[in-house]
Amino acid sequence: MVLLITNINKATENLGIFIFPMSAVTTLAPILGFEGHPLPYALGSHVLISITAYSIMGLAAAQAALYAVQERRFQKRQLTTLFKNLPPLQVMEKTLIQMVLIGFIFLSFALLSGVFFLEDIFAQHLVHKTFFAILAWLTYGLLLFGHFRFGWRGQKAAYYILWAYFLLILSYIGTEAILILL
Amino acid sequence: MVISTLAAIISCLLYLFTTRLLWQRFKQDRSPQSEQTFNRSNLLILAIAAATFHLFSFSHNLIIENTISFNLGMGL
Repeated sequence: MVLLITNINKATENLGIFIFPMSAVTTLAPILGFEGHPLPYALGSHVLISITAYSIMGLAAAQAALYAVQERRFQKRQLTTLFKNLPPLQVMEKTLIQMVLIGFIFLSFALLSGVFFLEDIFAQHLVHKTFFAILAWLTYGLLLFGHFRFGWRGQKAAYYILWAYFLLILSYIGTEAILILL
Repeated sequence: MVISTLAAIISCLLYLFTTRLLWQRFKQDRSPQSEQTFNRSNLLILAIAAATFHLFSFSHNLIIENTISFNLGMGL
């Protein structure tokens, strides 16, 4: 869906070569019979917004990795068929920033809506999650500020996005791991 | 249940077909003639149809009796 939205004003459909097979696999997940966890509307909306933010940032991280490789190969003149068919670097960068911007908005809403469910941060074991999620949010914010204010792009922007996503992953998986270890 | 399973299968097939079309485009040479033979709007229509069926496959399970019911395995 994000790919289709970014495709409105520029030809980014070739990125679908990575996204469509993944989507095909996820569509079959309900048939395998995973059971859902019923949540009240308010908490459910918070989780839904968070999952949307994670998904968009995940796509952005994958694209950032692709963009970094594409740029390096372009400089070394080692473009394979796959990289030759990807959108041009400028379009890739524009799409990447758009995706981060959309994800940043969702992440901001996820953090803001999370505040309403915070009663005792220590008792609810949410310290790690909150800390890393805020750190990821700040990193994304810094990247967007740097991009629009100082023109950060290329490898630098890609690394910021990858580090920010690593922090975001830590906020979820890291918390689960710490809770299991404790 | 049957409708959502059907929607999931149709969506999966459409995604795979779209991937195949894209792969064929990748293998073609980038000459102007080959670009003309490839119909971009067809690809977009297929992708939109796949995304719509994908949405149908999990949307009716999303809201059950005043609760939002989901997990990552729902195809979200």
